[in-house]
Amino acid sequence: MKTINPPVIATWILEHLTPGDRNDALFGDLLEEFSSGRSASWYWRQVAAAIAIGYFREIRARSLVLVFATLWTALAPAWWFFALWFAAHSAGFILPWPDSTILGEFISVSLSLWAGFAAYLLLYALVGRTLVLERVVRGFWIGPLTFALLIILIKALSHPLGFATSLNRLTILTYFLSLVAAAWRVRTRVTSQSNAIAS
Amino acid sequence: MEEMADRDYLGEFELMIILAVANLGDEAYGVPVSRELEKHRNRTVSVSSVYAALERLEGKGLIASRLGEATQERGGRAKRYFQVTKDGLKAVRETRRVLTSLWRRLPELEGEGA
Repeated sequence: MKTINPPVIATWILEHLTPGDRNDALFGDLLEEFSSGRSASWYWRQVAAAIAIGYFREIRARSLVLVFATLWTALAPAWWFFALWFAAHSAGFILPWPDSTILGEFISVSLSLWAGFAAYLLLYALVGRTLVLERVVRGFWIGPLTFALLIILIKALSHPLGFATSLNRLTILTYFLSLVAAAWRVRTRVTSQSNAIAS
Repeated sequence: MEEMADRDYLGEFELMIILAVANLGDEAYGVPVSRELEKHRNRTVSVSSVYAALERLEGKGLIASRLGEATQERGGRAKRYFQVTKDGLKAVRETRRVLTSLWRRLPELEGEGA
């Protein structure tokens, strides 16, 4: 039996980058196999497979989120016109500093994201899933926050870009990602351990 | 045809997993199940793919699990033992019945044995 430890980096990746619920039984099995004579390259391959399978399962389990976000984002022209209308009628948001209309634009985008998130929650409940209040509340904040952070990042990396002043691909992609981020964690678990053997 | 729609036949990998778990009896946890599959398939198996299939089968009620003992060589992590449920055995028998029936309809394969 080997006495050396498995590759430290691979173990760290396995424990920290594998999506979904932590699977201690799997981690233990890999350690046991490595201890019984498996190679470091075998261990690395198993870690890579665990991460790939984990992400595949996460994405498949949340296919409803991706389909809904795609369809809702297809309505982007509608919320863009809403943003323009809101900006035109929100004189109260025009404050005495440059780019102060961004606040009005951000609020209009947030309203649109919240409407999308609310529609997703309705769909989620209609297909018989259980909603957890804490995750719902978190989702409401994550959407606009993600949108703001991504736009700031885009502005920092490229030329100045308004929140909703131009309906370009980056804005649409940002909107899509923000809606996905809001709805992603609404689903509670991917794995199931409900059928325990009666001891 | 309506009766068939109610049944959920096992896929190839799922069938192998259930048979391996059934063969191993009380010693069916991730490592032995993976080794059993490797021995009979003559190819390496990803332990995580075995777990993914086991958890999928557990979700269908065909497999049940319980946590076992933790050992030093496992870094203090508990084993997760699996067991085929009554519904699992029923699904295996039904899948075997359908497969056997289909194999027997192939004239050139008759007499090869199951």
